[in-house]
Amino acid sequence: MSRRAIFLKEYLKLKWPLTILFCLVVPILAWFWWSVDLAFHTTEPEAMLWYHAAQLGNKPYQKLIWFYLFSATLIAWCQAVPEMLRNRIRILIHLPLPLYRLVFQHLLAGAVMIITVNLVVGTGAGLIVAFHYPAPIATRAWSDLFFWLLPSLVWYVGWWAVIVETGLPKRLFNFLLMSALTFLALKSVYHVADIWILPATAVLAAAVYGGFLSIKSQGFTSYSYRFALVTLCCVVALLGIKRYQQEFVTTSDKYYIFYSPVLEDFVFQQNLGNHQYRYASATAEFTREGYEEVLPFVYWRNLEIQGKMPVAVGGSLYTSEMIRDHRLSVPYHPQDIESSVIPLYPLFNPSSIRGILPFPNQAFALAQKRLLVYNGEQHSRHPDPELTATINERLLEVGAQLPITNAWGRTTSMKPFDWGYFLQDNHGQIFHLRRADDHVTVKPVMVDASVGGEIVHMQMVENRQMEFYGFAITSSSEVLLVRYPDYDLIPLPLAGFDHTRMQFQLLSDPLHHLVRYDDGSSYRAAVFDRNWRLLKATAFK
Amino acid sequence: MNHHPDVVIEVCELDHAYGSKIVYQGLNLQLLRGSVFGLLGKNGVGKSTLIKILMGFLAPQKGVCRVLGEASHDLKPATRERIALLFEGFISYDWMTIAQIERFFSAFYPRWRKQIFYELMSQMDVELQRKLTDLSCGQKSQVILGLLLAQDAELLILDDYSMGLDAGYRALFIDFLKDYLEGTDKTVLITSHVMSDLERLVDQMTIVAGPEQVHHSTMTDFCRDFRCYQADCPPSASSRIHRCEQRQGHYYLFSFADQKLLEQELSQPLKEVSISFEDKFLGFAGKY
Repeated sequence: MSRRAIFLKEYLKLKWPLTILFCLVVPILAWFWWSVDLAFHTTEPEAMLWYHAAQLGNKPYQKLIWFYLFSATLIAWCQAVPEMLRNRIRILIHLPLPLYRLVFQHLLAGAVMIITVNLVVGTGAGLIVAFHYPAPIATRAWSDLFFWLLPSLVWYVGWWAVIVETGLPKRLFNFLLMSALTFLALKSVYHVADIWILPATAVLAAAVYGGFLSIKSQGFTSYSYRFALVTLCCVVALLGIKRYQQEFVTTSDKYYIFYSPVLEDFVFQQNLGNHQYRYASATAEFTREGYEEVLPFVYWRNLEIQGKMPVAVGGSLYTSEMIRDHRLSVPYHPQDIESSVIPLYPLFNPSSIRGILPFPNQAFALAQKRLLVYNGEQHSRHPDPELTATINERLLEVGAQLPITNAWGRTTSMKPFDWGYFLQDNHGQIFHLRRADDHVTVKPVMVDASVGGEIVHMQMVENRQMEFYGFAITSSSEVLLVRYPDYDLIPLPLAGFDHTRMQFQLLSDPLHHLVRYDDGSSYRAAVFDRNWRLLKATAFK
Repeated sequence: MNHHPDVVIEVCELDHAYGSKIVYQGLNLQLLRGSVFGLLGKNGVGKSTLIKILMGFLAPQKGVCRVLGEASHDLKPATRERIALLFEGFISYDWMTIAQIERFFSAFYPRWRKQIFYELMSQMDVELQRKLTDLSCGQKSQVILGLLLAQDAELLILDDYSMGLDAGYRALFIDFLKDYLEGTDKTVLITSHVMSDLERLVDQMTIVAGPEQVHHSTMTDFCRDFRCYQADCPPSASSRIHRCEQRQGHYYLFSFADQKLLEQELSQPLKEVSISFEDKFLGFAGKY
């Protein structure tokens, strides 16, 4: 009885705000349809839009999050403010109902309305995405549009906690907590574990209860509540700092280590902060000019401008062209493993009679049973049966165990040529998929039993030197180069390398390969000859 | 502290202050079942503070304040069900219609007496589908009175029921309340600035004139014992004179003392002046 009465009261209060929200749904969805449809009519090829959504994270529905937050704000304000005006909330507090139930029923009423209105807009937007985009993008859209209920609920309950609290410091605290929780609840990729936001929202709801008590000039002194609040603050602080550092903080390396072919020793540039640098080796200090002189393969452009090319190193002369042809820079970051991209990859199709690499209108997705190929030329959101069958046949021919679980490749067309993708099948076997001149090839990459652990990450390196396809990293942090053209795996002995927290950069010049790697506090480097034999290694802290 | 079943409200040694401003110091008060109790005082003397404490929106800083046997700031839902509150200014859910607000409150009170509410509504020429916000202040007061009475509470706390009401609606309010209380043992605590209405309704009262100037009495005793005397020359100082005012060349003395006794003490003739309850209240509490 009481629940129905409170729902009726809240409905009567929110009738007009709800009408406004439902009236807004129609033009918002119409605008969304129009903008997506226009993009598909004006973008060539269509798959470029898939690429933007899947690989660059440009979600076409991203702006709709504002509607979720707006609806939560509107409903919270229209519910809570009238109760606070003229202190009407005293009527509620005097009702013969336990206060916690009263608070819960009010929040439940608002939450049901927020969920309803946002499910309507989310369903509409999801259908529009599903109509225009391939299934992997639509799946992500459904997930996002559903999980966005979390930040909207946090925002809603948080506003209640801010509005009903009478003490200014607590009100400010509630605002900060609600903002931090909302920040954490707004993510680019959601997982089931993100449901932790709900118990966190329950703590915020307890703060609403505390706000009701503040009307009675009482504090919420329960030890359970205090414990939950302190725990939540710690969790929010830890996750918030981590998230902030991931998204907004750009760290600069403390050491830039190079190998000097002149000194045959490691040299480094130490970043002392405030644009102050130290140039040195283990045994000597350098001026900036002296530092550049011992690194002719790094600063060769200066030498070229100064007319000092070719440069002599170790009794041999090196021209600008020789240095340029041997140059290579391959980076790796631990974040590469936890990729947030949608598993939909452009299926390049370079033509041997064309000079540039066109962006393809086909893309493949890792589905549960097989690879699915979507074809933008067919203007269809359904997989292309012919291309799908061809690729899966090729995979089965070379012994792949479907489904394919991972695909690694460079999804951009801003590269000199395309080598396709490394694929990992259900048994951990690696295959090399490539399409060129409308012909699909799949080749196995044999991983020797001596390799420690399963391959957890690969990267394709499409470099003009064509010395190796790319590299692989195993679960035991072993780094292996995949040699061109025979797919032999060359292990790089990188002492102390941990792929889960360290980045590396592979640099090549006419005489050496240098791998420098660090975790932000420990800096290491290893130098190899042109045949990948380890020459020297060093470490800094 | 043992609770006597006939004591509906019990205040013992209540102290309350806002910073350095002391509002109550050692206040004691008892409301017995079946009484209609007026809490009177000028603005700013602490009537609202006491009402807030009794309604449970303020915890006493010192002392004990019990309502129906429970600490006023920690009333259980079952006890709140037995108490009807009228908030100053007829605060209610103005966005609801008359019928909706009756339906809303009826859901919380098992002893809800619907007929009382609609009986009172029938006395007003107003549609039940009209929202409270569209009603005049007087009409709204009747709706809220109807809600309070339909609750069938044992204790009614009515905070300044007269605010914004004209004489007609005030009379209607009081008349209906009196009829409702007739033959019941319901207890009423009422505050108002319109003394003439209270005179007809209240049987016990407390006048708060300051932290330590609290006078408890019955209405009959106060009206009978507290008198106003006119003197032609300034009276000498006496503890029997509660207040002395000078108007139009005369001196007006307010006192609980008998005329002869006071004349003897002051050694001057006095003339008793017949004044209203409101003037007596002002004579006791002062005008400013």
